[in-house]
Amino acid sequence: MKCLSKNKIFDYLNEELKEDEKKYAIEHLKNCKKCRNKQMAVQSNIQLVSEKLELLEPTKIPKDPIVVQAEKTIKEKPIYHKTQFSISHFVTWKRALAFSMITIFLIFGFLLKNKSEPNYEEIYNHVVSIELSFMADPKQDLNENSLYMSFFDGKKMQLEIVRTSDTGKAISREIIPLNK
Amino acid sequence: MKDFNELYNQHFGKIFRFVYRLLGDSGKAEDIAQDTFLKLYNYLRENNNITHPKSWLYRVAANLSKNYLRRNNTYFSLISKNISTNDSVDQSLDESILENEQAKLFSNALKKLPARDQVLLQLYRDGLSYKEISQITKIKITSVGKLLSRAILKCAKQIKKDFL
Repeated sequence: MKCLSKNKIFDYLNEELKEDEKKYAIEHLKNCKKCRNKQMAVQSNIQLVSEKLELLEPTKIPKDPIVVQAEKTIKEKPIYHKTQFSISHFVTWKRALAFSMITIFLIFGFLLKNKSEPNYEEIYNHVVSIELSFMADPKQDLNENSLYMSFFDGKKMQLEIVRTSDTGKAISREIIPLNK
Repeated sequence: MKDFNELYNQHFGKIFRFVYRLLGDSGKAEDIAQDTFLKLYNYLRENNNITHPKSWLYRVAANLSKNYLRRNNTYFSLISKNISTNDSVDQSLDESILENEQAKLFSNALKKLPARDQVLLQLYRDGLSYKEISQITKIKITSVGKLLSRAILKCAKQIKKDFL
């Protein structure tokens, strides 16, 4: 039997021989020590080179840019599925605090508004009725030269009376509370 | 583009590793791997069929790497450059290799081989068949085994010389 060349042995080790060549190589290697030694030499070379080539392998493979972007988005904005609804996803302490603050603010605002804004129409009507009754009172002795003016000071109604002489000079000035 | 997605998921890692071993630069390897798949995307979009997509991808990646390395004079120029200037190296990916003395010696040994042998060795490392290597490198299928065997022998001799 003819001995195998190194190239043939290399092809045999890489399973690149045709079927009949492969049979011949197997049969020959069983009986030929010289070719078995050659096979071992080729095999050790392959192993040596493969081991060294492994040193150049990268430690990490970069991820698909689309996957990287998707992961980034998920990290930034967590997605809550409808089927996985949980009250804790919706009610956070920040939201609860904000809701409470707004509610308190609205209640106080409503109360303050009611307190600080009197019904002016009612007060006006009340003042007019008092003025009319005051002028109709004969005890008050108001002559033609008297000026009077009613006003609401925020707490109670008052009437200011200014009595003047014929020349227009003020003689007296009086403020009377109208607590009817 | 279902085919493209499948091919991307199936082969991107292999192509990246192949280019990385040729260039020794993770950033550039990623660029070239992405360019390779961009070319594939455009090729498929024009309704072209690829009978052997794996070989096609390797061929494009090998050509892009060769062009890049030609501009940088020699194969593994980046690896040797990075080794000699240890402080300017990419901290994350390259460090583990570049810190390794064995890798340094081997990259230098590999640099002494012809460019074709280096590509053949890297393709062989990825477990490609003679047929696939022939499609990628355009070498006759009957010559692939012979050339590979010689490249391995030369490389082994160089390793023994440099390491021992």
